[in-house]
Amino acid sequence: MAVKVIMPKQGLQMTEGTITRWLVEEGGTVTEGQPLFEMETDKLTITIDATHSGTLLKIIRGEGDVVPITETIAIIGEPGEDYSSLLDEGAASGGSEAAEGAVVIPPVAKEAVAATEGKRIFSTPRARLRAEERNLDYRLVPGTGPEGLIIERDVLSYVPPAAAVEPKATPLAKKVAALEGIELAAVSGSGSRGKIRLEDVRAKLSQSGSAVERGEKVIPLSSMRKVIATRMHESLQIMAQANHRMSVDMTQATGLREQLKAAGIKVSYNDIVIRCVAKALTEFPMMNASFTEQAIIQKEYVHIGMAVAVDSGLIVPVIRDADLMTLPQIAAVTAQLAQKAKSGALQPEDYTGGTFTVTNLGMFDVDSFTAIINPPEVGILAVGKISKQAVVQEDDSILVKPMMQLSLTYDHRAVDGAPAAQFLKRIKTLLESPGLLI
Amino acid sequence: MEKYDVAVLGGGPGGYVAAIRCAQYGLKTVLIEADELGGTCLNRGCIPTKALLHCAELYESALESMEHGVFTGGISFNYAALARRKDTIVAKLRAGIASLEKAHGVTVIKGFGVLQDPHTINVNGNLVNAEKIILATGSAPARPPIPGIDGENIITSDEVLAMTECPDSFVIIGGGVIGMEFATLFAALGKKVTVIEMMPSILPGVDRDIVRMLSQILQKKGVELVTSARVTSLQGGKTIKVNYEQSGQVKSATGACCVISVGRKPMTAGIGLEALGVRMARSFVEVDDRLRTNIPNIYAIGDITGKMQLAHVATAQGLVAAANCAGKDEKIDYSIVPACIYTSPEIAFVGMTEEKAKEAGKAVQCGTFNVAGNGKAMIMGAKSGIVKLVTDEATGEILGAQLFAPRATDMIAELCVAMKCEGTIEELAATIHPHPTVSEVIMEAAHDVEGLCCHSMPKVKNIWEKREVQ
Ligand SMILES: Cc1cc2nc3c(=O)[nH]c(=O)nc-3n(C[C@H](O)[C@H](O)[C@H](O)COP(=O)(O)OP(=O)(O)OC[C@H]3O[C@@H](n4cnc5c(N)ncnc54)[C@H](O)[C@@H]3O)c2cc1C
Repeated sequence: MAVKVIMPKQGLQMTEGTITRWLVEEGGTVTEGQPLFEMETDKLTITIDATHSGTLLKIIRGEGDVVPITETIAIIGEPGEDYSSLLDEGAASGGSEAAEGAVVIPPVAKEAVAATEGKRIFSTPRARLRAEERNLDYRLVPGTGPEGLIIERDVLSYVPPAAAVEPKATPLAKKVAALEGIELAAVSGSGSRGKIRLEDVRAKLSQSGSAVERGEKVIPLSSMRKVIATRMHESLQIMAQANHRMSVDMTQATGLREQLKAAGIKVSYNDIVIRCVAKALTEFPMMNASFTEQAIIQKEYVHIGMAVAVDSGLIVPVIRDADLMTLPQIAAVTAQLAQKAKSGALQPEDYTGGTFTVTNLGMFDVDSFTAIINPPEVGILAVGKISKQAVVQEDDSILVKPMMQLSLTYDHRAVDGAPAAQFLKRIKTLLESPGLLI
Repeated sequence: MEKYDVAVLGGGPGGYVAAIRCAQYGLKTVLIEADELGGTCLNRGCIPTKALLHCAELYESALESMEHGVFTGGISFNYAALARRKDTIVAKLRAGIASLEKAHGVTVIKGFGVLQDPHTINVNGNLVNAEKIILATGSAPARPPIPGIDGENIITSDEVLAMTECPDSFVIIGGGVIGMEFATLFAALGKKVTVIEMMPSILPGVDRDIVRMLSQILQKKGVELVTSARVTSLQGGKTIKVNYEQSGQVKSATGACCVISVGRKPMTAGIGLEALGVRMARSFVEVDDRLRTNIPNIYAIGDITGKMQLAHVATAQGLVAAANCAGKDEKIDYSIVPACIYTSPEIAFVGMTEEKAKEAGKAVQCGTFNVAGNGKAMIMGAKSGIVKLVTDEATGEILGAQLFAPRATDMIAELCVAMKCEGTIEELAATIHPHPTVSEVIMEAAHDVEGLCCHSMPKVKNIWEKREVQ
């Protein structure tokens, strides 16, 4: 008997997931326990295995679709089986939401759809993906596949009627949209019969912040991108972020790394930085805190977040109790977390509960940068690359040394400039004489 | 006790329209009116003033008709006849409203209503119960506490519009819209008129250039405009005396009649609002943009809300309140409200003036056109006037328009539609206007915004200031 495949809930916070790839084609064979599709939540990218064996009779939600949890996304069953009873509910809601999700359909197009209402429209996920990329309503495309199925080729060769491309808009709305470089197709109209008014264009403007260039592709926000965007923006809005920078002489740290390497222990510079930061945090507990309107909450534990760039964005796995670990232990944990992050295998407990974050863009040749605090923490340390520099010594002689820039962003609501500077100075001291770590 | 879905208290342009709209939405509706249907607007305001003004304009045109080659001889007017004509028009319209209410199934009750509780209105002892109530009791002329204000021949607009004969001279206190319309009326009938205004100029809020031009026209007709003057006391009688203070000096004006037109007070007293705890702001009923008061089932519209004391605003509010009574969710938008002043020529404006737009931080670009350059206006005998369009420099958005021209009050609607539909100055300029009409002045001014007006001289600085003097 045919069964539904639903959008699975992964982790407590998850409310929707984005299907990034179907690993089995419609009509293909599915084996229980074998990978079926890939999806992305606000935190990770995961592969989901099939829970039943059979034939993938129908893919209801295509690649790129953002689907609420527990909604039906596909049907598995015997070839030729009638699964229409399962499809009806799924497809009905699926169709309309897919259309409204990422791409705004011009109002004219909507009217045309209304005319064909009641008639079920079949399309392939690829066709829908292409339609989405081209910013058109796939339901308007005449299908040439079996029984009128809309396939990719149909979408690619489809020339929309002029009216569908040019949504109705007031002259003023058109003009302002043109001036601001906003595509009217991406604006939904609130005027009579969906006419786009100035207000709608303004709303779009304020929502997109910067204007979308004419002729550019509209890329729907992934869940992770949404989270990053809101969190980072929120961070700058709610906190009073200030920044200090210092240059650090990495001669000693380099030496330490070589020594450990010789002993068969692999540590990265970042591990050394994390170790030093963990120690400094135990000495400056006000940096290991969070700020609330009522009080400052100092944490007695030190969980250091480590920003990791992944394909789809950024995630910050946490090294728990970093202050209680030795350098080799930290190295082992960071390696493991980084690996998990890249493969999208992090569990919620791996990326929650941090008390301070270290972010390093040295490997991308960045000299120095200002990082944005990850709330509710009160500080973040941005680490630049190590480069050889001519350094003027006390006695005016010049020495070439491996130098590195540290940039501390801190929440001035919780911490003042002088203690923040002392904290940064302490990290510098520890990095310059790592023997102090012992 | 009769039960209704909606009871509307007050049958002015706000209330009577709201009642009809409620009925159209299928609500069982009652309209309670203490006096006459049509309210201030029909009985003591818009319609009677404009009826008289029209007659006065005819008389004035007849006097000037020789210029047009028409010789009628022995031109005179009979004020009693003018007043009768006005009354006939009012009576007809009143009957019209009564039959409209009836045809839409609205019950009309005559009597003074007092709110007893949020659902009950006591109309002279009879109780009316309603799910929802729309307050539309309007306003009445204000009589400021000036010593001697109750003297003989000291009257307000109510009494002016009830006159059956016309005194020979007037002192009008207040240079606002109503004051200037009366000044226009009596000046046209050849009466001596003195206007005393407290502010530095008449018609505060109206474009300054237009005020200047109108002042000149009125003064030419013998109207004396006294500004920055505060009336200190009045002496009634066969000849009334108005004492006022102007730049520290005590002066006085005399006339056969004194018209007080210094504003209107809302009719909010004695109708039970205090007992119900209806929130008020300086004796006006406070409403939100859905016309709701703080009492959930009670709405208020029109002059008692103190927003804009205009009949068309009262009506627009009435329609929104009715929709909300019917469970819809509508909001009133006051951004595009035309205002009209029936002077000669007429004044009409909408949106922002150039000054206001600049204050609001807009980069503005204005287009003007002198009415003297319009064929139809010339045919009609208009000698001066101006149109001014205020636009946003970058987008061409029409921010506002001021007209001082024959038929300005009709023509302003064109601009309201353009603004409502978010047309830009280009559409206005590219709209083919009929020729010859006064409406062409709007198109010309629109062309002028781009500096491409064919019917004005090439731009020199302040071109229209130069022309205005002609
Ligand atoms: C001289 C003059 C000229 C004007 N010219 C213009 C113009 O050209 N254009 C313009 O837009 N506006 C003009 N106005 C303003 C316009 O008349 C008012 O803005 C408009 O009438 C307000 O409408 P309303 O429905 O709020 O109240 P009103 O018209 O004042 O009507 C209220 C009604 O409620 C009745 N009422 C009051 N209390 C009770 C009660 N307790 N029980 C029962 N009935 C009650 C009153 O008898 C009255 O009929 C003019 C006003 C005046 C005085």
